[in-house]
Amino acid sequence: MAFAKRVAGPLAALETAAMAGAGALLVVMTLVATTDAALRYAVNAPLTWSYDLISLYLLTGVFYLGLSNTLRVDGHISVDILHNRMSARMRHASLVGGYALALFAFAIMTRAVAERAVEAYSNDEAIVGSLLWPTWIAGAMVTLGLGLTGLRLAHRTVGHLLSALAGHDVIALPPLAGRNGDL
Amino acid sequence: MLAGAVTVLLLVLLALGTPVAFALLGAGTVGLWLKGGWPMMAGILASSPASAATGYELITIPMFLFMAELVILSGAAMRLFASAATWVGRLPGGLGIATTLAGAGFAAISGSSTASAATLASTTVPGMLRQGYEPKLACGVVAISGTLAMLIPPSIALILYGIVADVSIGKLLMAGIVPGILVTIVIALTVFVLVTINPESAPNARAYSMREKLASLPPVLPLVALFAAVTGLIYTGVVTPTEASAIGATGAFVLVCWERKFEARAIAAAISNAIRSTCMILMIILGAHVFGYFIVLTQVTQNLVAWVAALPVSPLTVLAIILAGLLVLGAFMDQAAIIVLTVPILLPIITALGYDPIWFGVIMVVTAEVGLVTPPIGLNAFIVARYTERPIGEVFQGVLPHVLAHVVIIAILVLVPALTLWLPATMQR
Repeated sequence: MAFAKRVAGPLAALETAAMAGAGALLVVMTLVATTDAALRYAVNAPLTWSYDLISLYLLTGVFYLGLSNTLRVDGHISVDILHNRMSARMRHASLVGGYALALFAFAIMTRAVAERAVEAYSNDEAIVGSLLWPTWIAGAMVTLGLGLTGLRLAHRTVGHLLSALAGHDVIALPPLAGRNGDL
Repeated sequence: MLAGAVTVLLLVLLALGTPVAFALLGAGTVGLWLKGGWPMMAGILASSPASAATGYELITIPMFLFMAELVILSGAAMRLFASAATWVGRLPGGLGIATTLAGAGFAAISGSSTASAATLASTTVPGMLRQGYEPKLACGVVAISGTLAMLIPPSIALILYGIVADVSIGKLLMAGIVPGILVTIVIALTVFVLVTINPESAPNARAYSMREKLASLPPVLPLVALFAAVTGLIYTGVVTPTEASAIGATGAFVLVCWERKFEARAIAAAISNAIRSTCMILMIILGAHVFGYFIVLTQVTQNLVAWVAALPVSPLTVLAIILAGLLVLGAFMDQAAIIVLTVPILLPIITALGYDPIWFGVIMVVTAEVGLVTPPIGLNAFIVARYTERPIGEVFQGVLPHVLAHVVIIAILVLVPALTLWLPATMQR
C-alpha cells in the first residue's frame, strides 16, 4: 500500500515538470506559426525553419510531454456506463486489465524509441533542412513522455489491483461522467 | 474470426472503463501479436510513436483548442448572450433562442463542444432560471447549443475527420457553415414551438429599446473580428487552416489582454487545458493507429466494402444503416474515437457508393452531435447537469425535442447535399 503513495509524489513532480515544458513549447509553437504566417503574407519572407521546428520538435514535445499528466488528471476520455452501476471494489478490479495491456504496449514503445534515440545521438544523426535538426532531441522527448506515461500506467495497474484486493481505495478512482476533454 | 475476437476484446475493455485510447492500443497490440507474432507487433509498436501523432497539419488541434480556452477566459460567452438576449429576448422562448445564438457565436470562435456546453451552462442557465424558465427547457437548449461547436468552424471534429480521411481541412471547415446555420435555426425554432405550445415554461423577458439593442453590439465586435480573421482567411485561401489556427490563438490572446483578463495563473490553466485535450485526441489517434494496423492486416475493410457493394439495396439505404449505426455508437462512445475508428472503414464504402467525402464528414459530425446529448453517456448533457447542479434525467428530458429535430435536419442534409457542398465549391483554393 505504501508503494503507491511513495511512487505517486515523485512521479507527479516529474509529470508537472514535463507539463511545464509542454506548455512552454505550446507558446513557442503559437508564436513561431503566427510569425511565419505574418512574414509569409506581409513581406513574402517566411521563416524557412518553422515547418521543421514545429513538426519535429514542438508538436512532438507538446503531445508526449503532456501525455502522462493528462492521464494523471483523468483527461483521457472513457466510457463509464458500467461504472455507474459497480461497487468501488468492482470498479478498481475492472480497470486493472486495460491498464496492464496498455503498460505492456508502452514498455515496448519506450524501449524501442529510447534505443533509437541513443543510436541517433551516437551517430550524430540529423535531418537536413534549412538547418541541421538532430533527431535525438525529438527521440529524447518521446522517450521521456512514453516513459512517464508507462510509469503512470504501472502505478494505476498496481494501485487498482491493490485497491481491489484490499477493498478500499489505495489510489483514487477516476471521476464519473463529465470529465475533461472531448470534441 | 480473429478480427471479431479482438473487436470483442476492445468492446470489453471499453465497457470496463479503460480510457478509449488505451483500450484501442491494448486491443490492437494483442491483435497484432495473435496475427503476426512478436516481431510484427514489436515492429509496429516501435514505429507508431513517430508516425502516428506527428505531422504539421496536426498543430491545428492544439492551436484551435488554445484559442477556445483563451476565448473562454476573455468572457466572450457572457457578452454574446447579453447581446443576443437584448435583440430576441422578447420573442416566445427569447432567452432560449438567445442561448442558441450565443452558442452559434461561441462555436464560431471555439472548436470544442464540451467547452462550449460548460461555458454556456454557467453563463446562460442562471439568467433563464431567474426569468422563470422550466429547468429542463433551459438545460436542454444549452446542451444542444453546445454541440454547434462541432459543426461551425473552427471545428476540432471536422479537423480530426479531415486528418483521418485525408481530405481538405479548409473545405471541410467551410462545408460546416451552412449546416451549422441550419442547425442553429432548427434549435431556435424548436424552442419557439415548445414555448408557443406551453407558454408557462418560459416567461417573456423585458423589452429593450433600439438604443439599448445597438449599444449591445460593440462589445461583441472583437469576437466577430476574430471569427473573420480565422474563417474568412481560410475561405479566401489567404492562409492555410494551420496558419489560421495559430493566428486565431494569437488573436484570442490579444482579446484576453484587450478585455483586461490577463492573469498568469489563468493563462497557465488555459495552456494546461489545451494541452490535455490535445493529448487526449492525439493519444486516441496513436491507439487507433495500432488498432488500425491490425484491422488492415485482417483485410476486414476490403471484405466489408466488397460485401456492401454486392448488397441488393440502394446506396441511400446503406447510408441510412450507417447513420443509424453511428447514432447508436454515439450514445456509447466518445466522438473522437468514433471518427478515428470508423472513418478508415466507412470512407471506402461511402466513396464506393458514389458519395462525397467532405459531405459525409459533415453528415457524420451532425450525427455525432446527437450522441453528445443522448443517454447513457451524452457528455454535453452530463456537463450541463454538473455545471447547473440539475438532475441528469431532467437534462436528457429537456434535450429530447432537439434530438428529434436533429434527426429531421440530418435527413434534409442527406437528401440535399448542395446545402453542404455549395460553399466549399466557391472557395478560391
